[in-house]
Amino acid sequence: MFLKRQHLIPIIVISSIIFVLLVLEGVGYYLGGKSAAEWKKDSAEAGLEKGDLRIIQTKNRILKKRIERLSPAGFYIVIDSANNILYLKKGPDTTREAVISCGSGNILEEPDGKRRWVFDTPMGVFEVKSKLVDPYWLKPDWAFIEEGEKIPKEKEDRIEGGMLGDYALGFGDSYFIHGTLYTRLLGKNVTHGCIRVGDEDLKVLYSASSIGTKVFIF
Amino acid sequence: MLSKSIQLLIILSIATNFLWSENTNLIKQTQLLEAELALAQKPQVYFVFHIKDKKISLKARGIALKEWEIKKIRYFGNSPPARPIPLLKKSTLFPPKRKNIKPGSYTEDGEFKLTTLELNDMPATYTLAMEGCIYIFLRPQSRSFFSKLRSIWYHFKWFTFPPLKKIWFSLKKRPLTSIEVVLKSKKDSQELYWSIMEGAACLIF
Repeated sequence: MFLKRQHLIPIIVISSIIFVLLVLEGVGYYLGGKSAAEWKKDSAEAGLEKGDLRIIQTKNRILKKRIERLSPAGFYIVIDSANNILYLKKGPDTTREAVISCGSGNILEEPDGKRRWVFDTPMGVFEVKSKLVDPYWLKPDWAFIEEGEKIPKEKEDRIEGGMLGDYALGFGDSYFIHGTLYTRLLGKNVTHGCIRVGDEDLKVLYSASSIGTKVFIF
Repeated sequence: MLSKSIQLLIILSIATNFLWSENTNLIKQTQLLEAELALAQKPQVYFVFHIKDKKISLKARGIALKEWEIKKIRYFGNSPPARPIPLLKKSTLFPPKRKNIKPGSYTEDGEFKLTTLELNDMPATYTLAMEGCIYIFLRPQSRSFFSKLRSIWYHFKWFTFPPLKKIWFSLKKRPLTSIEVVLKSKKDSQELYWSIMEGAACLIF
Protein backbone atom coordinates (compact mmCIF):
# COMPACT_ATOMS: atom_id res chain seq x y z
CA MET A 1 0.00 0.00 0.00
CA PHE A 2 2.68 2.44 1.00
CA LEU A 3 5.10 3.89 -1.50
CA LYS A 4 8.71 2.99 -1.04
CA ARG A 5 11.14 5.76 -0.20
CA GLN A 6 12.84 5.50 -3.61
CA HIS A 7 9.50 6.25 -5.31
CA LEU A 8 8.64 9.02 -2.93
CA ILE A 9 11.66 11.21 -3.73
CA PRO A 10 10.89 11.73 -7.47
CA ILE A 11 7.26 12.46 -6.61
CA ILE A 12 8.32 15.11 -4.09
CA VAL A 13 10.80 16.63 -6.58
CA ILE A 14 8.22 16.76 -9.40
CA SER A 15 5.54 18.17 -7.09
CA SER A 16 7.97 20.85 -5.86
CA ILE A 17 8.82 21.85 -9.44
CA ILE A 18 5.13 22.05 -10.33
CA PHE A 19 4.45 24.06 -7.17
CA VAL A 20 7.27 26.52 -7.91
CA LEU A 21 6.06 26.89 -11.51
CA LEU A 22 2.51 27.53 -10.36
CA VAL A 23 3.72 30.15 -7.88
CA LEU A 24 5.78 31.82 -10.62
CA GLU A 25 2.78 31.74 -12.96
CA GLY A 26 0.66 33.33 -10.24
CA VAL A 27 3.22 36.08 -9.61
CA GLY A 28 3.59 36.65 -13.38
CA TYR A 29 -0.16 36.92 -13.75
CA TYR A 30 -0.39 39.36 -10.89
CA LEU A 31 2.33 41.57 -12.41
CA GLY A 32 0.86 41.29 -15.91
CA GLY A 33 -2.64 42.00 -14.69
CA LYS A 34 -1.41 45.05 -12.78
CA SER A 35 0.28 46.36 -15.93
CA ALA A 36 -2.73 45.51 -18.08
CA ALA A 37 -4.81 47.88 -15.96
CA GLU A 38 -2.64 50.62 -17.49
CA TRP A 39 -4.27 49.96 -20.89
CA LYS A 40 -7.32 51.81 -19.62
CA LYS A 41 -5.85 54.52 -17.47
CA ASP A 42 -2.32 55.22 -18.65
CA SER A 43 -3.15 58.38 -20.58
CA ALA A 44 -4.38 59.90 -17.35
CA GLU A 45 -0.99 59.18 -15.84
CA ALA A 46 0.95 60.46 -18.83
CA GLY A 47 1.34 63.82 -17.18
CA LEU A 48 -1.08 65.55 -19.53
CA GLU A 49 -3.35 68.30 -18.41
CA LYS A 50 -6.90 67.13 -17.92
CA GLY A 51 -8.37 69.48 -20.47
CA ASP A 52 -11.98 70.01 -21.11
CA LEU A 53 -13.61 67.08 -22.94
CA ARG A 54 -14.89 69.34 -25.70
CA ILE A 55 -11.50 70.92 -26.33
CA ILE A 56 -9.88 67.49 -26.72
CA GLN A 57 -12.71 66.31 -28.98
CA THR A 58 -12.28 69.39 -31.19
CA LYS A 59 -8.53 68.90 -31.29
CA ASN A 60 -9.01 65.27 -32.36
CA ARG A 61 -11.47 66.29 -35.07
CA ILE A 62 -8.96 68.84 -36.39
CA LEU A 63 -6.18 66.24 -36.35
CA LYS A 64 -8.37 63.76 -38.28
CA LYS A 65 -9.18 66.44 -40.86
CA ARG A 66 -5.47 67.31 -41.22
CA ILE A 67 -4.66 63.63 -41.82
CA GLU A 68 -7.51 63.33 -44.37
CA ARG A 69 -6.26 66.38 -46.22
CA LEU A 70 -2.93 64.65 -46.89
CA SER A 71 -4.55 62.18 -49.30
CA PRO A 72 -3.89 62.91 -53.00
CA ALA A 73 -6.33 65.25 -54.70
CA GLY A 74 -6.41 63.61 -58.14
CA PHE A 75 -5.78 60.09 -59.39
CA TYR A 76 -3.39 57.84 -57.54
CA ILE A 77 -2.16 54.30 -58.07
CA VAL A 78 -2.27 51.56 -55.43
CA ILE A 79 -0.37 48.34 -56.06
CA ASP A 80 -1.02 45.20 -54.03
CA SER A 81 2.13 43.21 -54.81
CA ALA A 82 1.02 40.20 -52.77
CA ASN A 83 -2.08 39.67 -54.92
CA ASN A 84 -0.71 41.25 -58.12
CA ILE A 85 -3.52 43.77 -58.41
CA LEU A 86 -3.32 47.43 -59.34
CA TYR A 87 -6.00 49.95 -58.41
CA LEU A 88 -6.36 53.31 -60.09
CA LYS A 89 -8.12 55.47 -57.54
CA LYS A 90 -9.54 58.93 -57.18
CA GLY A 91 -10.44 59.77 -53.59
CA PRO A 92 -12.08 56.71 -52.08
CA ASP A 93 -13.31 55.45 -55.47
CA THR A 94 -11.57 52.79 -57.54
CA THR A 95 -11.85 53.73 -61.20
CA ARG A 96 -9.87 50.79 -62.61
CA GLU A 97 -8.67 47.46 -61.29
CA ALA A 98 -5.99 45.57 -63.20
CA VAL A 99 -4.24 42.23 -62.88
CA ILE A 100 -0.49 42.81 -62.96
CA SER A 101 2.85 41.08 -62.39
CA CYS A 102 5.24 42.15 -59.65
CA GLY A 103 8.75 41.12 -58.56
CA SER A 104 9.68 37.46 -58.25
CA GLY A 105 11.71 37.86 -55.07
CA ASN A 106 14.46 35.72 -56.60
CA ILE A 107 18.16 36.34 -56.15
CA LEU A 108 20.81 36.56 -58.86
CA GLU A 109 24.50 36.55 -58.05
CA GLU A 110 27.29 37.41 -60.42
CA PRO A 111 29.45 34.33 -61.06
CA ASP A 112 32.45 36.01 -59.39
CA GLY A 113 30.20 36.85 -56.42
CA LYS A 114 30.90 40.57 -56.57
CA ARG A 115 27.34 41.71 -57.20
CA ARG A 116 23.95 40.43 -56.11
CA TRP A 117 20.43 41.43 -57.12
CA VAL A 118 17.15 40.77 -55.31
CA PHE A 119 14.21 41.02 -57.70
CA ASP A 120 11.65 42.60 -55.40
CA THR A 121 9.15 45.27 -56.31
CA PRO A 122 9.99 48.11 -53.94
CA MET A 123 7.34 48.88 -51.33
CA GLY A 124 6.46 52.34 -50.13
CA VAL A 125 5.23 55.68 -51.43
CA PHE A 126 6.51 56.84 -54.80
CA GLU A 127 5.42 59.19 -57.54
CA VAL A 128 5.42 59.08 -61.32
CA LYS A 129 8.68 60.68 -62.43
CA SER A 130 8.59 60.01 -66.15
CA LYS A 131 6.00 59.15 -68.81
CA LEU A 132 7.27 57.39 -71.91
CA VAL A 133 5.59 56.46 -75.20
CA ASP A 134 6.98 53.47 -77.16
CA PRO A 135 9.67 52.87 -74.58
CA TYR A 136 12.68 50.69 -75.22
CA TRP A 137 14.49 48.61 -72.66
CA LEU A 138 18.04 49.59 -71.81
CA LYS A 139 19.12 46.18 -70.56
CA PRO A 140 20.95 46.38 -67.25
CA ASP A 141 23.97 44.19 -66.35
CA TRP A 142 21.86 41.62 -64.50
CA ALA A 143 19.85 40.86 -67.66
CA PHE A 144 23.04 39.75 -69.45
CA ILE A 145 24.31 37.81 -66.44
CA GLU A 146 20.97 36.04 -66.11
CA GLU A 147 21.10 35.06 -69.78
CA GLY A 148 24.73 33.98 -69.46
CA GLU A 149 25.87 36.60 -71.94
CA LYS A 150 28.81 38.95 -71.91
CA ILE A 151 28.04 42.46 -70.65
CA PRO A 152 28.39 44.85 -73.62
CA LYS A 153 30.45 48.01 -73.41
CA GLU A 154 28.37 50.06 -75.84
CA LYS A 155 25.01 51.50 -74.82
CA GLU A 156 23.54 50.63 -78.26
CA ASP A 157 24.08 46.94 -77.57
CA ARG A 158 21.86 47.17 -74.54
CA ILE A 159 18.79 48.55 -76.31
CA GLU A 160 15.88 46.17 -76.81
CA GLY A 161 12.65 47.47 -78.35
CA GLY A 162 9.11 46.15 -78.07
CA MET A 163 9.57 44.56 -74.65
CA LEU A 164 7.85 47.20 -72.51
CA GLY A 165 4.59 47.71 -74.40
CA ASP A 166 3.27 51.04 -75.66
CA TYR A 167 3.82 53.11 -72.53
CA ALA A 168 5.93 53.23 -69.40
CA LEU A 169 5.61 55.18 -66.19
CA GLY A 170 8.86 55.55 -64.27
CA PHE A 171 8.68 55.86 -60.51
CA GLY A 172 12.38 56.07 -59.65
CA ASP A 173 15.50 53.90 -59.39
CA SER A 174 14.91 52.43 -62.89
CA TYR A 175 11.58 50.92 -61.82
CA PHE A 176 8.71 51.24 -64.30
CA ILE A 177 5.07 50.39 -64.69
CA HIS A 178 5.06 49.07 -68.25
CA GLY A 179 3.43 46.68 -70.71
CA THR A 180 4.36 43.08 -71.37
CA LEU A 181 4.65 40.44 -74.05
CA TYR A 182 3.96 37.75 -71.46
CA THR A 183 0.31 38.54 -70.78
CA ARG A 184 -0.36 34.96 -69.67
CA LEU A 185 1.90 35.60 -66.68
CA LEU A 186 -0.18 38.51 -65.42
CA GLY A 187 -1.30 37.73 -61.89
CA LYS A 188 2.00 36.07 -61.00
CA ASN A 189 5.14 37.32 -59.31
CA VAL A 190 7.61 36.94 -62.17
CA THR A 191 9.26 40.29 -62.86
CA HIS A 192 12.65 41.69 -61.91
CA GLY A 193 10.99 44.40 -59.83
CA CYS A 194 9.07 46.40 -62.43
CA ILE A 195 5.30 46.23 -62.67
CA ARG A 196 3.87 44.67 -65.80
CA VAL A 197 0.38 45.67 -66.88
CA GLY A 198 -1.87 44.51 -69.73
CA ASP A 199 -2.16 46.77 -72.81
CA GLU A 200 -5.66 48.18 -72.20
CA ASP A 201 -5.06 48.86 -68.52
CA LEU A 202 -1.72 50.49 -69.32
CA LYS A 203 -3.38 52.87 -71.76
CA VAL A 204 -5.90 53.98 -69.09
CA LEU A 205 -3.13 54.34 -66.50
CA TYR A 206 -1.00 56.40 -68.86
CA SER A 207 -3.77 58.86 -69.66
CA ALA A 208 -4.96 59.17 -66.03
CA SER A 209 -1.56 59.79 -64.51
CA SER A 210 0.73 62.76 -64.75
CA ILE A 211 4.17 63.58 -63.41
CA GLY A 212 3.81 63.58 -59.63
CA THR A 213 0.92 61.09 -59.47
CA LYS A 214 1.34 59.12 -56.26
CA VAL A 215 2.12 55.41 -56.46
CA PHE A 216 1.54 53.39 -53.28
CA ILE A 217 3.05 49.92 -53.28
CA PHE A 218 2.55 47.34 -50.54
CA MET B 1 -35.33 55.09 0.24
CA LEU B 2 -31.98 53.46 1.02
CA SER B 3 -32.18 51.20 -2.02
CA LYS B 4 -32.97 54.20 -4.25
CA SER B 5 -29.95 56.04 -2.88
CA ILE B 6 -27.75 53.03 -3.55
CA GLN B 7 -29.12 52.79 -7.10
CA LEU B 8 -28.42 56.48 -7.65
CA LEU B 9 -24.90 56.12 -6.29
CA ILE B 10 -24.23 53.16 -8.60
CA ILE B 11 -25.54 55.07 -11.64
CA LEU B 12 -23.47 58.13 -10.70
CA SER B 13 -20.32 56.08 -10.21
CA ILE B 14 -20.83 54.31 -13.55
CA ALA B 15 -21.41 57.64 -15.33
CA THR B 16 -18.35 59.26 -13.71
CA ASN B 17 -16.21 56.26 -14.53
CA PHE B 18 -17.46 56.32 -18.13
CA LEU B 19 -16.74 60.03 -18.51
CA TRP B 20 -13.31 59.64 -16.92
CA SER B 21 -12.32 56.73 -19.16
CA GLU B 22 -13.79 58.54 -22.19
CA ASN B 23 -11.68 61.55 -21.31
CA THR B 24 -8.45 59.55 -20.83
CA ASN B 25 -9.10 57.59 -24.04
CA LEU B 26 -9.50 60.87 -25.87
CA ILE B 27 -6.16 62.12 -24.55
CA LYS B 28 -4.49 58.94 -25.77
CA GLN B 29 -6.32 59.27 -29.09
CA THR B 30 -4.92 62.81 -29.41
CA GLN B 31 -1.38 61.53 -28.89
CA LEU B 32 -1.89 58.77 -31.44
CA LEU B 33 -3.49 61.10 -33.99
CA GLU B 34 -0.56 63.48 -33.61
CA ALA B 35 1.79 60.56 -34.17
CA GLU B 36 -0.22 59.46 -37.21
CA LEU B 37 -0.18 62.96 -38.66
CA ALA B 38 3.62 63.02 -38.39
CA LEU B 39 3.81 59.60 -40.12
CA ALA B 40 1.30 60.53 -42.83
CA GLN B 41 3.33 63.60 -43.74
CA LYS B 42 6.29 61.41 -44.70
CA PRO B 43 6.44 59.33 -47.91
CA GLN B 44 6.09 55.97 -46.20
CA VAL B 45 3.57 53.27 -45.42
CA TYR B 46 2.67 52.57 -41.79
CA PHE B 47 0.50 50.13 -39.88
CA VAL B 48 -2.22 50.85 -37.37
CA PHE B 49 -3.36 48.11 -34.99
CA HIS B 50 -6.84 49.12 -33.83
CA ILE B 51 -7.30 46.97 -30.75
CA LYS B 52 -10.73 48.39 -29.86
CA ASP B 53 -12.09 48.39 -33.44
CA LYS B 54 -10.52 44.98 -34.12
CA LYS B 55 -8.75 45.76 -37.37
CA ILE B 56 -5.28 46.30 -38.76
CA SER B 57 -4.81 49.05 -41.32
CA LEU B 58 -1.98 49.55 -43.76
CA LYS B 59 -1.89 53.27 -44.40
CA ALA B 60 0.01 55.93 -46.29
CA ARG B 61 -0.72 59.66 -46.32
CA GLY B 62 -3.73 58.97 -44.12
CA ILE B 63 -5.34 56.63 -46.67
CA ALA B 64 -6.14 53.07 -45.62
CA LEU B 65 -4.62 51.06 -48.48
CA LYS B 66 -5.62 47.72 -46.99
CA GLU B 67 -7.46 46.54 -43.90
CA TRP B 68 -7.54 43.19 -42.16
CA GLU B 69 -10.28 42.19 -39.76
CA ILE B 70 -9.22 40.86 -36.37
CA LYS B 71 -11.36 37.96 -35.19
CA LYS B 72 -9.98 37.70 -31.67
CA ILE B 73 -7.50 39.68 -29.67
CA ARG B 74 -6.04 39.42 -26.19
CA TYR B 75 -3.28 41.31 -24.50
CA PHE B 76 -1.12 41.07 -21.45
CA GLY B 77 1.39 43.36 -19.77
CA ASN B 78 2.15 47.03 -20.25
CA SER B 79 0.12 49.34 -22.45
CA PRO B 80 2.04 50.25 -25.63
CA PRO B 81 3.24 53.84 -25.90
CA ALA B 82 1.24 56.35 -27.98
CA ARG B 83 3.99 56.91 -30.54
CA PRO B 84 5.23 55.18 -33.73
CA ILE B 85 6.77 51.86 -32.78
CA PRO B 86 9.19 50.36 -35.31
CA LEU B 87 8.96 46.69 -36.19
CA LEU B 88 12.31 45.15 -35.35
CA LYS B 89 11.83 41.58 -36.51
CA LYS B 90 9.32 39.20 -38.07
CA SER B 91 9.96 35.78 -36.62
CA THR B 92 8.48 32.49 -37.65
CA LEU B 93 9.39 28.82 -37.45
CA PHE B 94 9.79 28.40 -41.20
CA PRO B 95 10.63 31.73 -42.86
CA PRO B 96 10.09 31.88 -46.62
CA LYS B 97 13.21 31.19 -48.63
CA ARG B 98 14.18 33.10 -51.71
CA LYS B 99 15.25 31.12 -54.75
CA ASN B 100 18.58 31.67 -56.42
CA ILE B 101 18.76 32.08 -60.18
CA LYS B 102 21.62 30.23 -61.78
CA PRO B 103 23.35 32.63 -64.23
CA GLY B 104 22.94 31.44 -67.79
CA SER B 105 19.94 29.26 -67.00
CA TYR B 106 17.55 31.75 -68.54
CA THR B 107 15.98 30.90 -71.89
CA GLU B 108 13.28 32.66 -73.88
CA ASP B 109 10.62 30.57 -72.20
CA GLY B 110 12.74 29.91 -69.11
CA GLU B 111 10.89 32.64 -67.34
CA PHE B 112 7.76 30.57 -67.33
CA LYS B 113 9.43 27.76 -65.42
CA LEU B 114 10.78 29.99 -62.68
CA THR B 115 9.79 29.23 -59.17
CA THR B 116 9.15 32.52 -57.44
CA LEU B 117 8.36 33.81 -54.00
CA GLU B 118 4.60 34.11 -53.81
CA LEU B 119 1.91 34.83 -51.26
CA ASN B 120 1.39 31.12 -50.61
CA ASP B 121 5.02 30.80 -49.50
CA MET B 122 4.42 33.23 -46.64
CA PRO B 123 3.87 31.87 -43.13
CA ALA B 124 0.47 32.29 -41.51
CA THR B 125 1.68 32.07 -37.90
CA TYR B 126 4.40 34.45 -36.78
CA THR B 127 5.48 36.99 -34.19
CA LEU B 128 6.19 40.67 -34.74
CA ALA B 129 8.84 41.86 -32.31
CA MET B 130 8.65 45.60 -31.87
CA GLU B 131 10.72 48.18 -30.10
CA GLY B 132 10.04 48.45 -26.38
CA CYS B 133 9.58 44.69 -25.86
CA ILE B 134 6.21 44.59 -27.62
CA TYR B 135 5.43 41.20 -29.11
CA ILE B 136 2.46 40.65 -31.39
CA PHE B 137 1.71 37.02 -32.14
CA LEU B 138 -0.45 36.55 -35.23
CA ARG B 139 -2.27 33.48 -36.43
CA PRO B 140 -5.32 32.68 -38.55
CA GLN B 141 -8.62 31.53 -37.14
CA SER B 142 -8.76 27.77 -36.57
CA ARG B 143 -11.04 26.08 -39.05
CA SER B 144 -9.92 22.51 -39.62
CA PHE B 145 -9.69 19.80 -36.97
CA PHE B 146 -5.89 19.95 -36.93
CA SER B 147 -5.73 23.71 -36.66
CA LYS B 148 -8.19 23.54 -33.76
CA LEU B 149 -5.88 21.03 -32.11
CA ARG B 150 -2.98 23.37 -32.73
CA SER B 151 -4.90 26.25 -31.16
CA ILE B 152 -4.94 24.28 -27.88
CA TRP B 153 -1.16 24.59 -27.91
CA TYR B 154 -1.44 28.33 -28.60
CA HIS B 155 -3.80 28.71 -25.61
CA PHE B 156 -1.38 26.76 -23.44
CA LYS B 157 1.50 28.92 -24.69
CA TRP B 158 -0.44 32.11 -24.03
CA PHE B 159 -1.28 31.19 -20.46
CA THR B 160 2.19 29.81 -19.67
CA PHE B 161 4.95 31.89 -21.23
CA PRO B 162 3.88 35.56 -20.92
CA PRO B 163 3.54 35.40 -17.09
CA LEU B 164 6.99 33.81 -16.74
CA LYS B 165 8.43 36.33 -19.19
CA LYS B 166 6.74 39.13 -17.24
CA ILE B 167 8.58 38.13 -14.04
CA TRP B 168 11.89 38.11 -15.91
CA PHE B 169 11.22 41.49 -17.50
CA SER B 170 10.04 42.96 -14.17
CA LEU B 171 13.30 41.84 -12.55
CA LYS B 172 15.19 43.61 -15.33
CA LYS B 173 12.87 46.62 -14.88
CA ARG B 174 11.76 46.50 -18.49
CA PRO B 175 8.21 46.73 -19.85
CA LEU B 176 6.63 43.80 -21.64
CA THR B 177 3.60 43.76 -23.89
CA SER B 178 2.21 40.57 -25.36
CA ILE B 179 -0.63 40.77 -27.85
CA GLU B 180 -2.23 37.80 -29.58
CA VAL B 181 -4.13 38.54 -32.77
CA VAL B 182 -6.30 35.99 -34.55
CA LEU B 183 -7.02 36.98 -38.15
CA LYS B 184 -9.99 35.91 -40.25
CA SER B 185 -8.14 33.62 -42.65
CA LYS B 186 -4.78 32.13 -43.54
CA LYS B 187 -4.62 34.42 -46.59
CA ASP B 188 -5.09 37.53 -44.42
CA SER B 189 -2.28 36.40 -42.17
CA GLN B 190 0.01 35.73 -45.13
CA GLU B 191 -0.86 39.08 -46.73
CA LEU B 192 0.09 40.92 -43.58
CA TYR B 193 3.39 39.03 -43.37
CA TRP B 194 4.07 39.96 -46.99
CA SER B 195 3.28 43.65 -46.53
CA ILE B 196 4.81 44.43 -43.16
CA MET B 197 8.49 45.12 -43.55
CA GLU B 198 11.07 45.17 -40.81
CA GLY B 199 11.58 48.79 -39.83
CA ALA B 200 7.97 49.74 -40.64
CA ALA B 201 6.35 52.17 -38.22
CA CYS B 202 3.35 50.86 -36.29
CA LEU B 203 0.78 52.57 -34.13
CA ILE B 204 -1.20 50.62 -31.58
CA PHE B 205 -4.52 52.35 -30.88
